[in-house]
Amino acid sequence: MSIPRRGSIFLLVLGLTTVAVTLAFTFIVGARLRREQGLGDGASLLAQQAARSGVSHAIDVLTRDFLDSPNRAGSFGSRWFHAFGPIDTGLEGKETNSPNNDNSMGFEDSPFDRNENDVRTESRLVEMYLNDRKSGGNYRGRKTPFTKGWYTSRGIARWIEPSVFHRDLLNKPISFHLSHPAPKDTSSSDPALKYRGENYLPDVSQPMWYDDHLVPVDDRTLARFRLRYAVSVVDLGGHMLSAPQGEYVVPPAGVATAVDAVGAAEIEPTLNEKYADAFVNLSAQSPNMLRPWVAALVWRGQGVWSDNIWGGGLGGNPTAFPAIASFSGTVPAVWGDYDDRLNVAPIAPEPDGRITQPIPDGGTAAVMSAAGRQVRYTFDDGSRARSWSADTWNYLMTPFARASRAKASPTRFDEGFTDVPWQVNVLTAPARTIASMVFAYLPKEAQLLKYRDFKKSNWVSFDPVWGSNGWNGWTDYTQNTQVAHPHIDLFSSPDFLAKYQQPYPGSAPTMWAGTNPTAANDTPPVKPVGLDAAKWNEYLGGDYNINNWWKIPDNQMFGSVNSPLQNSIGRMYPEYPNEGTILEQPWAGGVRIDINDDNVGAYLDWTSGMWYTDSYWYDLAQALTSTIALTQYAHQALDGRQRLNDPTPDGIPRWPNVPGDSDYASRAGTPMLDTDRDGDGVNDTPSQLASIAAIDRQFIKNLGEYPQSYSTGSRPINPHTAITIGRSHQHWVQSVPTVTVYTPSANIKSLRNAGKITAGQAKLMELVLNDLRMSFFGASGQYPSFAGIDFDDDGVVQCSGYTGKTATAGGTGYGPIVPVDQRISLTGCFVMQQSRFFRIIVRGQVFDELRRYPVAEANLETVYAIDPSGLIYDVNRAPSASHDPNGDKLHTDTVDMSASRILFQRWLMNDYQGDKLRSYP
Amino acid sequence: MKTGMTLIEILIATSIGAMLAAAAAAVTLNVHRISARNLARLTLHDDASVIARTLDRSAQSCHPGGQWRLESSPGDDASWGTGDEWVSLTFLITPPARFDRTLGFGPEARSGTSWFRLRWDAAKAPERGRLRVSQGSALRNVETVRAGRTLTITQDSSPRRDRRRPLDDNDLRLVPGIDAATYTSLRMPGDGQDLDAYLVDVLAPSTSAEDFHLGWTDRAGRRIEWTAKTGLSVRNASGAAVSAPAGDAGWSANSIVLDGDFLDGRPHTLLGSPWSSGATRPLLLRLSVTLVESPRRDVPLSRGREIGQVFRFSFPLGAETFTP
Repeated sequence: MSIPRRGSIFLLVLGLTTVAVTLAFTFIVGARLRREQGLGDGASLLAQQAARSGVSHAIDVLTRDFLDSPNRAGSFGSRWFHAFGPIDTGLEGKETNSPNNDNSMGFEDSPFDRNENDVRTESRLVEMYLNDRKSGGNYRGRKTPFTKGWYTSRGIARWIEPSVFHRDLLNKPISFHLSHPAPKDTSSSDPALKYRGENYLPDVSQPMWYDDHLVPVDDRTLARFRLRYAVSVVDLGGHMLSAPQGEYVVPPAGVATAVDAVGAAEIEPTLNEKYADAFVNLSAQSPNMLRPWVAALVWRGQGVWSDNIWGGGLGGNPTAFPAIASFSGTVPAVWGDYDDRLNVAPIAPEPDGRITQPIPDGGTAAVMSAAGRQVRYTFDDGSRARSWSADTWNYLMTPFARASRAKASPTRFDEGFTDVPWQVNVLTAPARTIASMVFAYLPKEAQLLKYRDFKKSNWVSFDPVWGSNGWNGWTDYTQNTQVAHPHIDLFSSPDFLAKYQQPYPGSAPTMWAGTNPTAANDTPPVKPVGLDAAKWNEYLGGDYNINNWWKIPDNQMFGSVNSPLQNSIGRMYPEYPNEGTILEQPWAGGVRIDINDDNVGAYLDWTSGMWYTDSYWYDLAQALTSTIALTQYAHQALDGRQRLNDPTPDGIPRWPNVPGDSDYASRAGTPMLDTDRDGDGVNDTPSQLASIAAIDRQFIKNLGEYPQSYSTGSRPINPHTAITIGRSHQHWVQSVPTVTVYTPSANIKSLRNAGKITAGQAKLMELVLNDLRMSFFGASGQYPSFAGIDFDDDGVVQCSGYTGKTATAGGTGYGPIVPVDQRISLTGCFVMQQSRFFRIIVRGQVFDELRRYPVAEANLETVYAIDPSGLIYDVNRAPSASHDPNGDKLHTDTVDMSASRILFQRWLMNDYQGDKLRSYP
Repeated sequence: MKTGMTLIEILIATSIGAMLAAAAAAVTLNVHRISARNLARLTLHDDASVIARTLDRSAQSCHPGGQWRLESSPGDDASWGTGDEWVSLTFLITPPARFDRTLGFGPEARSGTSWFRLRWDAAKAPERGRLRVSQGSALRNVETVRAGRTLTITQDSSPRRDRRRPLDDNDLRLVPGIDAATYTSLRMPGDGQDLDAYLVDVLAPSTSAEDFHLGWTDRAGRRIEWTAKTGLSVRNASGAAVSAPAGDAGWSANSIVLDGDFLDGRPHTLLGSPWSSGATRPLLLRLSVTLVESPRRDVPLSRGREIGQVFRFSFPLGAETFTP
């Protein structure tokens, strides 16, 4: 019979088929897995490649901008700043000037960027500026919320396709969704067409489009995936140097000293020692940097440490660096000397920190760290009131900057008349930098709430600056005291005492005794520095009353981030603002305010602040910061891009009518800045704010003083006309700033003439003013002609730069040029130069056109230095022999751009990067 | 009608069946061996992939501002190629930072920089050559009791630029006022000791790294190469041998330690050396290694032969190479 055989064959065939199907399926599954894995890996690599392309593009723009910019300082009008800015959302939302109708920049769900040309707001990159806003900003009247405009960093704002763009990035953007050329169509609902149109072709067009298999295709219609990147560029020239790097000093054998430690940490010892106190003050100007003793460690290259893991709070005693330790135990521990903690013999002499009291703390763990010099400060979780904000730190301080060198005749960009480490580009400095410099300079009395009754059921801790006024405990109490944030009086520091000598305003109680207030409990260390009811430089419309002691009207807002009350309250109570606090001036007639849930916002919020507004220091700070804001605003003219309904007709800020000011005669309506806009090589108009000396001149006028020449006795009494700026100083914000002309209520001579101040007080005020000018402007290598001015018109010029602190006023009312070797700067000076150090952050993506979603992303952070040796331009921005606008000398010899290089680069990922503790027995 | 099979048929069928069974067995066993060999090869490639990923990521993160250290030894017998050599390469990296803390899961790294070390140790058969890596910790501590109270001291990685600076000088030796007894008792490891303490294997336990070559090309086009057979050599762009600069303490017969760039981009002056960091910094890291997979004992009829393959890698050093 054949039936069994047939059956066997059938079974055999069936089996073979099963095997074949199984093998085929396995093969298919394997192939699919392999392909998907390959696509994933390929997409990740492509995203990285997109990020690298973005860095290359940024460096290309930076380099070209640098070479093309002889005689032009880096500013927010520079190409590197605006080239990568948003395009559609930058145009939208300018329909009105109402501050209540601001439209968002990249705000989520914004209808104005439906085409994904712009990146949604990247808050992490501009958080520092967000913080500025939250804390009231540091320029007068800045109120526009962060989400409604652009600040000094635009974050990563706009998508660009690698190798598909027009080199005129600002005026000829390439929208992905358009087929170019695309004429303007005002009837279109597409903002790219309605407001702009793109009637041109990309002049760089080597697209990288990919099909489903990541195979390159030439036709966009066939593209499933495409690459894109967005670039953020920040000028580090507007930031402040931390821990100036020095040559390594081999430590000697044996017991190390503090000097040994600094040298071995590759920190420049002279600068480190001389400016440590100033750095502490600079770091103190933020509620996010509440424990500035840590700054002493950063400055000395000892690194930083955080309490976010162990608890116990930041703190420490700079006397005992680098050790900071508290102990577990039942008794509240204290921060103390390292030698004390280790039970070893104290070193002698200890570092010269003048703050010797330990900081009370309830810490339960001991911490010491010597992390070393940081290239980036990422060390806290940002969620605790007593931790530092890494981002704030990142956008204020930087290790990537050149410390200036003192030269009698500065020629290079990093040379000045002093060795102050901070030469800040005034045109790109964030508000926080400016505020830090100004507030660090002021004597602590200027930031002092003079009297206070404090009642709070909480644990408090005061800074050891005021020693016995600190207490701790958990009981209710009422105590008269005063509050000031940690602050070192730089004028009396050993490094500068010989220059300034005592007494100095703010530390001269006898000079101002009895001026205000006069209550019996006005006892030392209270040191009146005010001018009673002089209403110094009252801003028109201001509402001065006693409440100003607690809350400054918005139009007087200066920056509560620096207010002593906020700092102290914030430090004492993490849950700030704090209800249940009683503030009371304990003299007859003094005001009492009970802070409660209902009014806490009125007296203690982030947008108002505590400031001793009757102090002359207040006026100096106001005039200085408003002048700088005005300067930055003026230089944004270089952007040259009109915004919708911008009251400036062409995006160019113009001078208002300034009556009575010869400098501005016939200048009303003319562009603020002299730029060669027609390209003929000749400045279109003279400028007022294009040099450090010019800024100084405007600063003087904003105080009501006269920078013009007058012989002794003929200086006008009536205050000079001033110009300030309201709202945001950045005109691309929809709420366009208002340039306000006003006349201050007094100047030194008018006060003296009215008998409100004595001759001695007038001299002291003149000394304060000239010294402040010297510290912020006169120390700059771009201001060789700096001289003191006889503001009180008594024939003698007061300035610490002169031998004996005085000089005879010449026929112009000016003293002689201050000798360059006698100039001094406490907290940094301003320059206007080409920017050389940049931080670039790029986000690269692989975008899926089908799903309209990025399928892979890579972020790359880079620090790039252009011509760090300063061979292309000199200290005054003028081109040197090495300058070659065509860039032909790139990489060809030793006097060209070959020193330009990337100093730092890292990938930014969402990987978990927590620290794993390693314990050693 | 005959319904059975003849003897011849049975014999033929049996013979055919036996031949088929033998062939099937042979095929099966060979497939098993092939599978084992392929598995071994896959392991080698996996190991190579790990090397590539690990070194590529570190190389891309190489920080130009830090030292670059190649240190080696010919072993106790002072002779190269005898199986007791070792080499280590240490450089400063900037580990990827968490970009958006709102999406993160924990604290950020406290230090912006960390040290990375690659170490190869030769071995004489049957021991295997080991390839290991280590990354410095940003958070290590020691506890001690002082004056009756517990003190915890925490230390981070410390960046170093100058080549003369030892990797272990952040072991508290430079704390002002510390005395020898305290220093000794605390035993806080420095960065170098920390790196050595946490070296981890890159390769699978069954894989051995042999015939190791390590080298780089620097900005001046010089090629530096270390091999287990010959030790360290330096050649210029033309291929001619280059001697270590006289008086330069960073160069010796068995080690090269290079300076990092200043963070402000200032030019270098190397003590006792005509070469600046601008010329000596590496651009391209090269590595060649023969990975050998040992025979698997669980594979029947394994012929006992090792599977070996030479892998060569080149890694551009991130920011070092990225100049316009």
